[in-house]
Amino acid sequence: MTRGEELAEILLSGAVADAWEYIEQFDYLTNVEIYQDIITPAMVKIGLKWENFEITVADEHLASGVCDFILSRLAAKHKLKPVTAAPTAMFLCLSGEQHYLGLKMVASIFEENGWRTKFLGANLPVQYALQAAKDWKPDVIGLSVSIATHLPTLTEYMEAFSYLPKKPRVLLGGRLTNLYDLASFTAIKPEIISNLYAVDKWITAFNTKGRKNAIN
Amino acid sequence: MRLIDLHLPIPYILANKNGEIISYTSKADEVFDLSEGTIKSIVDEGSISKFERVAAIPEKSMRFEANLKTRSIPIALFDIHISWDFQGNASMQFLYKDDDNEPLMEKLQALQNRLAKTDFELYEQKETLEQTLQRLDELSGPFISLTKEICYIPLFGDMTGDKFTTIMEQTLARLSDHDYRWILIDLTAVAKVYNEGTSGLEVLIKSILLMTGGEVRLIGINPRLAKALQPYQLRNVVHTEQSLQSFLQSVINNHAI
Repeated sequence: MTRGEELAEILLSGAVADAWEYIEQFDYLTNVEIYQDIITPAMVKIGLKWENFEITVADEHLASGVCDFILSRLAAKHKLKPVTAAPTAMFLCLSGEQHYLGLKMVASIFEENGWRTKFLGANLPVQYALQAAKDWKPDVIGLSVSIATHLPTLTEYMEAFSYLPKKPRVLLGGRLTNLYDLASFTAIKPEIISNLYAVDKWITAFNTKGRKNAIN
Repeated sequence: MRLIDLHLPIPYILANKNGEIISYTSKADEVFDLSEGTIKSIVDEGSISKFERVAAIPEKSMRFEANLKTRSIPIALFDIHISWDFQGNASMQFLYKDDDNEPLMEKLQALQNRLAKTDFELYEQKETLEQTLQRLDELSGPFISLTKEICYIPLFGDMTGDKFTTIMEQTLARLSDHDYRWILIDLTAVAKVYNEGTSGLEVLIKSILLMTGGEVRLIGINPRLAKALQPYQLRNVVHTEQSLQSFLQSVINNHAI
């Protein structure tokens, strides 16, 4: 069994302590590695098990709850205390989108890099997203979409953000990035992030180019 | 595709193995948009492969979960009951399921909200503190072998239930290696006494008596302890000694050790 498959079994059993013990043995890995190479494959495996008639949606919900706990602990382990001048990023799932775990991992990687972040979670209607962006003026907005039915609303979000006085960089991730040409869905193009290593690279590039440069 | 006059409480559709709808009930038409005449048109993209796999094993009647598009909800979870007739056509009944998962979703939402508020630094400190307390409990009842015949377990600090659970584990493990004639439990250094602690002591003593053929002696019972231990009627099973010194003196006198 791969690590992802092993973790999937533990998550489905609902055993929070066992799941944490399993993850803790990999403390020699970075969070990005744990997220991309262990937790993501585990959640993909759980999705496949549903497709394969092995589990129900209720089982998936339970596993997600346990996974959420693991992510929160991992994030807390490496979180840096951001300085006031640190760049800012806010994260949200499109309206109707309930798959927030991937985005939570992304937010945690930004935090590890010293960013100030706001995680607005699953299913955030466009008007709330816009209000939060107006109030907080983030440098980056991270969006996630995993269900194709939610794709048409992406245009609404992109358009809403384009009217912001301080234009943020918009990053788009989620399961669909590997299946569709997401940029073609909207006139205003978001930057597509296809996995968690790409997040790390993106942040490094942002830091290298300098904040001002990168925003323009 | 024809409407059949069957007033079933949940949607019913008959389709051939290519997924083309042969007949349906009015309830099915009320819930789903069947205008395209195919099952595929009411199935969410993420669930199409499940239908394809079910169609590949048509001899099997089964129930499975899938996400469907209804007239009012773009993605709704259903339990689908399917059976096949001799012509290879599938009879399907659709049971809406999201209501069943609602309480679970609410609990998970509450968990998620709590997680968002949890200070994990404090959480980790609490875990460290719990480990320290456990270690303190282990050290509050050391097992000391005085001679081949006498072992001595002095207890320190507050008498809590957790402490006795910890002490019992290590004491019974040590006693299993060796036959002691006298097992001395010294309560001189005990501070506060909790109810779970006194019942824990009773369980410890009775377990020792069950395991060994030895005699348990309680040492250093002060008036406060005597009052707390009174309901347990330990007098019937143990002897008491005023101090370790007085016990050792009597042993020396009787056995000339």
